[in-house]
Amino acid sequence: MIKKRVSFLSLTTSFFYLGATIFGGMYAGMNRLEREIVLRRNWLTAQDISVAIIVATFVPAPQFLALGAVIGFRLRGWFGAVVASVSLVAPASLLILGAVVALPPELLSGQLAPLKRVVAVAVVGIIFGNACRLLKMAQERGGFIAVSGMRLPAGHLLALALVATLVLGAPIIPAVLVSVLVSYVIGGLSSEVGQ
Amino acid sequence: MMAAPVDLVSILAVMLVGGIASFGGGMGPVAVIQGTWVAGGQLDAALFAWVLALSHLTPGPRAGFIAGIGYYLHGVTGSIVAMAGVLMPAWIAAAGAVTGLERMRKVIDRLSRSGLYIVAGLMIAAAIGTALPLGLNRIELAAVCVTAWLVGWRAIDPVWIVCAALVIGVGWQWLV
Repeated sequence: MIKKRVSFLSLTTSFFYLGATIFGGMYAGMNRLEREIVLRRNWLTAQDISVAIIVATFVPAPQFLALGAVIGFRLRGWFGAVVASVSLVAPASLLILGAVVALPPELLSGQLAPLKRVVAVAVVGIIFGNACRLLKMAQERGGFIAVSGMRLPAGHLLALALVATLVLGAPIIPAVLVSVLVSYVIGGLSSEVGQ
Repeated sequence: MMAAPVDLVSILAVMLVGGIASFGGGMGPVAVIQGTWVAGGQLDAALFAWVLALSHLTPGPRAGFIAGIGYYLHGVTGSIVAMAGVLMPAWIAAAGAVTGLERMRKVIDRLSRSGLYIVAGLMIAAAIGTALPLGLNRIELAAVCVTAWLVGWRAIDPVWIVCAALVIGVGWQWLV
């Protein structure tokens, strides 16, 4: 429930502050978000924040940005969504932009080449690790369908098919669109077996 | 190192798709960038990984790394356009979700059961696509496996992995 009319200036400062002080992603920053929006500003209730998190989790956009946009939209409509999400991502964007401007590619490929390579190896591992975590989360939500009395891991097969398709060089956009259609069908079938 | 600048319309279009592909998580743009610009030769795989690593060291949404990608592709203007591209789906989806939550709920529920598998598949493809141009040796492959295990099974915050990699990288540089 909105307690009072929110000014764009306070919306900007609040979300910029949150973007500059929350480390580790949306879930890691929930307490800080609730303190700022619910307790300090009194803009929304804790229940409103919970609903906003659920909505942000299921909309097709980066979760944390979607959360900022959902809260901003609830507070000040379209312009509120833009102001809140831009303010939220501005600190990270400015810091990264500053870093890439200060460290030109020439420097990275010369003097700092070993450093860049070690970091690249770490990032590949991080992406694989995050993918594994997602697969575990996906398994908890469903993705199995019943075929002749057996539980077929349709979701895993979909992920595997998508990986194979992309690694073999298929264009990514049609591959994702087809996967979303298949995912929609799997979602319907998996509900019938009581996932 | 880098090919000719990518035009701004392409940056906007690809980042729009990247934003939409973030269903259920914030890593959708990673796969789209890898599949489009890294695989296409417009963006060096190591630079891509470098910007991703920076995003683990900065506060706020991880999607901030897109500013760095946009900069490498078309300077500061590219950075702004790339950020606008990834933000637009968030604005539209947020407005749609808030105003029509009940009407969308069935479709969202159905997609959410298996939508995460798509994101996971995209991420695995992105990891393979980033690793292949690097030509990893056995020790580096082992390091990738250990890192994936730490992040995927031990839930270690990636910021510690990146910090450790920076320390190792600086140490290696100093020794060599």
